[in-house]
Amino acid sequence: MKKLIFNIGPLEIEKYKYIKTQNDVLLFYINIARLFYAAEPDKHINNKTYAEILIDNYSRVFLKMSENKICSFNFPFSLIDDVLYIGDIKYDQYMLTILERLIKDTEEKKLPFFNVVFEGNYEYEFPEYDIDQIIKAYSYLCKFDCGYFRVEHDVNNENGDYHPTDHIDFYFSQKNTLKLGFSNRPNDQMIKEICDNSKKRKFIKI
Amino acid sequence: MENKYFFTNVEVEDKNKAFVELIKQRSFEKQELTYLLSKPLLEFDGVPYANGMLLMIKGYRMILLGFYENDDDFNNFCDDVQEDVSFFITQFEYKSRIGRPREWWKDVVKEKNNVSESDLLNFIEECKINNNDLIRKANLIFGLLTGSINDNISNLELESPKDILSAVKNKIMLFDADQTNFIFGSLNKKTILIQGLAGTGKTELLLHKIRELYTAKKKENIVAFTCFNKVLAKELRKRVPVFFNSMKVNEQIKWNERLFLFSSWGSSYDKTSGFYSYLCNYYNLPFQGWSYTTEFKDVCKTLYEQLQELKDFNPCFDYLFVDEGQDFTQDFFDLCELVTKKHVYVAMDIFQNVFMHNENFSIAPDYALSNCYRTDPKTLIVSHAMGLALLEEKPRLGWLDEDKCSVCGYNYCKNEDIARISRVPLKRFDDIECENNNSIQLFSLNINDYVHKIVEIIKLIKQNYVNVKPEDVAIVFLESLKSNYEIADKIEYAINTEIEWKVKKGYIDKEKCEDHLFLTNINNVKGLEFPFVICFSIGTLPKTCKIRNSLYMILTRSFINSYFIFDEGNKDFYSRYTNCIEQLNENNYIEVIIPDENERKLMQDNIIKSEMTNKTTKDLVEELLKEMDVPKNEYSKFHTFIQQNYKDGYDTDKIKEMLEGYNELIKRLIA
Repeated sequence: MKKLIFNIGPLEIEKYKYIKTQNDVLLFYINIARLFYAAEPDKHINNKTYAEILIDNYSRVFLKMSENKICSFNFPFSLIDDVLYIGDIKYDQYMLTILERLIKDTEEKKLPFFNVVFEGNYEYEFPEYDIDQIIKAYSYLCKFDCGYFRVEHDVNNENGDYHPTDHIDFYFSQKNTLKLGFSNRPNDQMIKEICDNSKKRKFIKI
Repeated sequence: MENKYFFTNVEVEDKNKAFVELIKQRSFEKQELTYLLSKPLLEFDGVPYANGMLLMIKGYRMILLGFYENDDDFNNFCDDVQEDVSFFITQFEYKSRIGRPREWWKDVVKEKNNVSESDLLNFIEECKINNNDLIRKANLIFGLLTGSINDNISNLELESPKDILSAVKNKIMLFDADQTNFIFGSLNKKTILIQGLAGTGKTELLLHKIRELYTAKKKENIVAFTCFNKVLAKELRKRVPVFFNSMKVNEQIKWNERLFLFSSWGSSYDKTSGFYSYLCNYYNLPFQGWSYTTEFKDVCKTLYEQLQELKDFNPCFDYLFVDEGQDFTQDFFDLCELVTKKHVYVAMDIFQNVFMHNENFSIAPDYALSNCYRTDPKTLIVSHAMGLALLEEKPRLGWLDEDKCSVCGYNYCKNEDIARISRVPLKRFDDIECENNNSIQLFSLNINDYVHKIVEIIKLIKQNYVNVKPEDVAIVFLESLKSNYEIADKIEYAINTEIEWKVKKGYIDKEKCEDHLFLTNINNVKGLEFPFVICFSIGTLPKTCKIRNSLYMILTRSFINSYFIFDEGNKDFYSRYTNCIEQLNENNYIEVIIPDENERKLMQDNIIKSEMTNKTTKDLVEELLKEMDVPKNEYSKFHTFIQQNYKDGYDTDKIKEMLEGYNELIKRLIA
């Protein structure tokens, strides 16, 4: 198993606060890839907040956002010689920068990604811009199931069985998200084990 | 004799002629900014004072000069002035900050009826203020009467600032004579050119002029404002409502109806995203985007031709404002004139024009601003020297002759083949002594140490200026290279974790933001300004017009300090400019070898060569193929080859090498 730990601060965590649309998922991927390139991995978790990338029979990011919240999503990249790839596309910082700019432009202009790509004169600002590579890179990122879930110990919003103190939220969009309660507070290790296909499964008692 | 220290709207008559001349002469000799007014410059309901004048000299009390036969009439004049000042104080909401005029009138104003010519100068001297807080109050009043309204009055500190950063943030704006002439004067020509160095207040002036025209009574002027840079356009779009609000423009801004603010190109999906896209939509003509074969000048040219063929063509704007005019070519300005009914106002940086040989830019400006209120004079001189490679091996990149130096606010002293260049001292931030010997600092480093150095610089800034905020600092990288984006990400991470500041990336978010440090490439910094600017560059610093022009532009964005970090391999560059800074600190001037005829010719050739960057890659490829005697019917395969394989920006030599190699290969294969 490949394990990368980054003890990170509140400003890094803030980048993962909002998830409402598919574009937010893509920005999560981009941010985690940036973190991978920009920060030196730590040997141990020694922070209240951290990002942990686990690459095994599954490939996931676990993001400890506060003492009471941990979220997890797919880590879509393959790691080859310290560079991130999906298929034949290399996701270096230049590529990540252009993708982020394009995704943010689609949000701002309220246009589909492909319109933005073909319409804007990005070559002017990014001389090494390769439109074919960009489209491939974007398409590859989109094809993944983001596998998003969030586990919370939420005392403030507790509302009996409708909003249990300890719960897990699956999916992110308002109409699809669903919540399952825990009768006890799960620890971080248990949450990670839920995702590990080689471990014995947890059961919901009905 | 041109006098940039004096402005008047007084109608000269026999009774006041000698006084006006005397005051004008005094302003020139003393080099003190002086206004002599017969009425306030902003529109108001009052009428000009019949026999009285307001004399305002920076650093002195306001003097009410009367030519009245009896004291009652003079007293009425003084009461009228107080009432008018009171009107402006109320209108611009200064009252809660500085109180009612009667509370401070005697401290800030002196009244004198029928002073003799011989006593006038002595009387003026008696009005000098020695208290900095009072000078600030007087400046606020002068500003109200001369149209320099301070839009930050609600949080402006009235007491004299204690350090440079507070001085920058609490600066009381007061237009000089050149600036006032631009706002309140008028010229009988279509395109009006305003030139000045970086930091001379061009953009601010355009905003004031826009307000004048937009709010002109009994007219519904349609006004548009454009610039090449999208970040600047966004920033201005945010600034205009705040500015109009502070100027107490009562009517709501009719965006995209009477007031347009956009970058130059725009998108076909949003007609108001750009000047060009708006015109295409307005005249129902096709929109063209950027491509291998198309640049902005091409689309302007095509649109201009199409518009000329339209029957019943009518301009769609009354007034058009262009900021950073040096970013555009003549085709754009032709289009601007065509679609504008009254005037096109173009602001451009005179220094950046040194890099152009286009005849359009050699025209003398209608308004030349020589006082730089933003950048430290030492930073400005060193940035100029680096920008023109003045201290490097011949041929250097450009030269400002004596006349141009003077227009730029330089003192130029020739001694045989050496020019001694210095800047006229200028108090940029009221009376705070803010010039320092560290305003520009150079660091020659191993690339692996860049991030650490930048963090160290920011920590030092925080230590020296306790009130510094993230938005006071900008980090800009010089070259559009992949590795710079990698370094930028590392810098962002380090600033997030070690400084605990948020970072906004100009090349992604296209805007500046409160509480965020601004990190960007060269494309998104023009027109912006910051107290502190850190620039970094990798590899060898080439002596090309494009790179050096960019370097000048970045380093002159700062109010207080500019830091330039570059690769340790540039030993010669480091040593030449470190010596230059030392010389400047010691003597307040730099000495430069004046180019001979031969070098001047080489400079001009290089400028022309660099202007090839205004051509499309396709144009360039065709020019080179022509030089290589390649038959025209074979051009298409070379275009395909370059399109598919050339990704390194615009480099004539590299494209030439690739074309020659490809040509060789084809010949060999055929043989």
